[in-house]
Amino acid sequence: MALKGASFTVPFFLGFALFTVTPMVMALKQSLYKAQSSGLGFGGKTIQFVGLDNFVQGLQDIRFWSAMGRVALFAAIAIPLIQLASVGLALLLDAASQRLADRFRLLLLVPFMIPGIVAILIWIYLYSPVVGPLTPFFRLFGIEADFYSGSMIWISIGNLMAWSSIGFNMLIVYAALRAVPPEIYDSARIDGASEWRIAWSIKVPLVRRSLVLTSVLSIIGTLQIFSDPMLFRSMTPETVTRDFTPIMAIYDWAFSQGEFNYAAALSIILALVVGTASALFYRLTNKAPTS
Amino acid sequence: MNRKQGRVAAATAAALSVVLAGCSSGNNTAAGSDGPVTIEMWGWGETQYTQPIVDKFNSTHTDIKLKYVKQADDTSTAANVRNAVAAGKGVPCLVQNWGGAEVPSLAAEGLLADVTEYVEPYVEKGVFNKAAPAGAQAGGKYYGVPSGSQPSFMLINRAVYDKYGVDVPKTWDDVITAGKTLKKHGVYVMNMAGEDPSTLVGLVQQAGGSWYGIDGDSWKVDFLSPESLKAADVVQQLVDNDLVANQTYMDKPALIKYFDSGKMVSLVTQVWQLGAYEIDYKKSLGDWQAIDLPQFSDATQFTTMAHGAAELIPKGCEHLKEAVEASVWKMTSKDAINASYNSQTKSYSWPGAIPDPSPWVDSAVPSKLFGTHKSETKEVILKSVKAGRDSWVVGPNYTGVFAELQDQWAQVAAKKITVREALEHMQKFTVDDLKSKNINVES
Repeated sequence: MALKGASFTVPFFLGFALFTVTPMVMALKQSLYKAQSSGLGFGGKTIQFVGLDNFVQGLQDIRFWSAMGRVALFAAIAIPLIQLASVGLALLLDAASQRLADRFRLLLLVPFMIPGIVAILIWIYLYSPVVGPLTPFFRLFGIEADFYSGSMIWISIGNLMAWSSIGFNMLIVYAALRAVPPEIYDSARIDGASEWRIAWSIKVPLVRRSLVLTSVLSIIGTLQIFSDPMLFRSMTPETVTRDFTPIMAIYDWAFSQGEFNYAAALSIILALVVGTASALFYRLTNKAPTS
Repeated sequence: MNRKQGRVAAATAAALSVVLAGCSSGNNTAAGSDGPVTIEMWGWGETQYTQPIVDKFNSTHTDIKLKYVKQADDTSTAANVRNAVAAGKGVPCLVQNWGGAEVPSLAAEGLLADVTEYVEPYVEKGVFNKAAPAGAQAGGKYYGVPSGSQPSFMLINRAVYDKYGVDVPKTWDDVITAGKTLKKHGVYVMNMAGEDPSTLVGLVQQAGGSWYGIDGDSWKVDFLSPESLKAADVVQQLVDNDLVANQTYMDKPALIKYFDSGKMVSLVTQVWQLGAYEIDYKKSLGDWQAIDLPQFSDATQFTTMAHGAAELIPKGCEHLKEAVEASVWKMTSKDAINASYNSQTKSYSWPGAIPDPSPWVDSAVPSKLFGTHKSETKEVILKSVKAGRDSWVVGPNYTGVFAELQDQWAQVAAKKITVREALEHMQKFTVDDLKSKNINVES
């Protein structure tokens, strides 16, 4: 019986083994080698086993770690804000009438349905100081908004990220809210609790698990942020350098410099960092009793 | 969620984050051994303009067949070639040279095949012009077929120059002087895109300099040579006086609109771009004039930069001799050049590798862009061809060095560092990088 049940997971584990475990093993193997030249460098390269040299170099790579710090700081600010907005919206929807809620739920989810790259391209042109509508719009109010300047770039990226992810996070939280038995609210009201009080003391604690889930997904997604800054780079290369985020640095090493071994080592380091951050967050938030 | 699920979630989370290790292999089949040899050719040019060349080749050759496989763009071409060579399967025999890539760095990466014995006879026969072969070489060997270079000259928006009474520049000092006058009217003299250091590289080449050199069995790196600093000085003055715009090439609609607006009035350009300007410009059509490339004030003879490129022949190609033959035909034969006609821009691919491109010059000059100055353009182009020099030597780590230079250049354009600081950084970066790759370098 147990075997029968477990067999349902076979398709998943096959895919997991082929597309996740196999590449990981290959990356691990690659990361232990290094291609070495000699003389003038034209004689071809020899592949040598170098042990953990690539990792040692990676751990000391200032530019890689400053990319990591840059993104970590961004995540620390952006994720809570996006979560807050998602919960706020979900609570509003939950308080609204069913018909209104249905309509807005769909509207808020539309950005999430737009493929990531398409969304970024749309926003790149919206932000464009020459052909975009936003710069002239802000100018009406006397604000000179340069969305690609060094001080604005993370706000621009964060806004785009919020735009595309709030709908999804909101939906998860909203679903959890709908699963709460209405009797709890009734008894709270009889006890004289205001709607604010109900939201803060009943609704939010009850959807805490969903919040942890969306937060972990956001942490993973944000630390691996790639396509947004990669496309923004074309607009503002002086701000978004080629090693602006950890994955961009890895991509650069692998695909523009051809140093696959070092890139493999860096991706393993990044995987460890993301894994640790997610596990830590999960641990910390899941310790307290649920209700 | 219980503990077990939590662990699975954490494992999935960790696993999800390694996405880059995947590696795909090419799935194109190589030619069979009997009958005509099929040469697979990769590039990202539109099939409708490349196919006629391929068809012409196939109708005039019986022992070799060309097959064009269109790639999405230059970055994906680079990635696909690297994958194919690593897999050793489905390796194409001819590949269009992608942006920023130079034969020596690709050869050093182990991507290219040594085709010296097949290319040299053609060079000795004189089918190429003098400047072309250098661009296909690394360390004295050929790793591709010379495709030559495009003549460089300057385009100016003459209407705006005349409107503000600014003289046509002959030297780079003149350009700076013109820029100072134009600035008062809110007009930039030139554009320097933050992602594209080609202005600096071009000036160093024009000055006759080179950042790399070979000395015996070692590389000599000199980003601070007199030629390099001379070029840096011009760029620095343009940046310091706020004479240049920083429009990116990536936002094409915005860029064209800007060039067309009359707010930016001179650009160093090459023949292949003229057709696009003719199609895209609306307002300024007819206002432009082609002029000789401005010179350094102390130049003794008229010089333009003519650093050549190559069609690449990757390692693993099974038919080196035939690949070279097909490529030489493409670069130098009348048939091939005539088949390259682009009905949209009404011009031929510029035959940059041959000694005498003059039969195709007329078609390279668009009809409306230059207005009354149209007739002068042909002379400007031919003069530039004649004055082309290639002193530029590229080192084995130029791919990485160029990427670093792009980032440094962006800082220069944003006035965060000076050109000299960028060059000093590049000097150290390049030497350190060569050493880390175990390549001989003089310090």
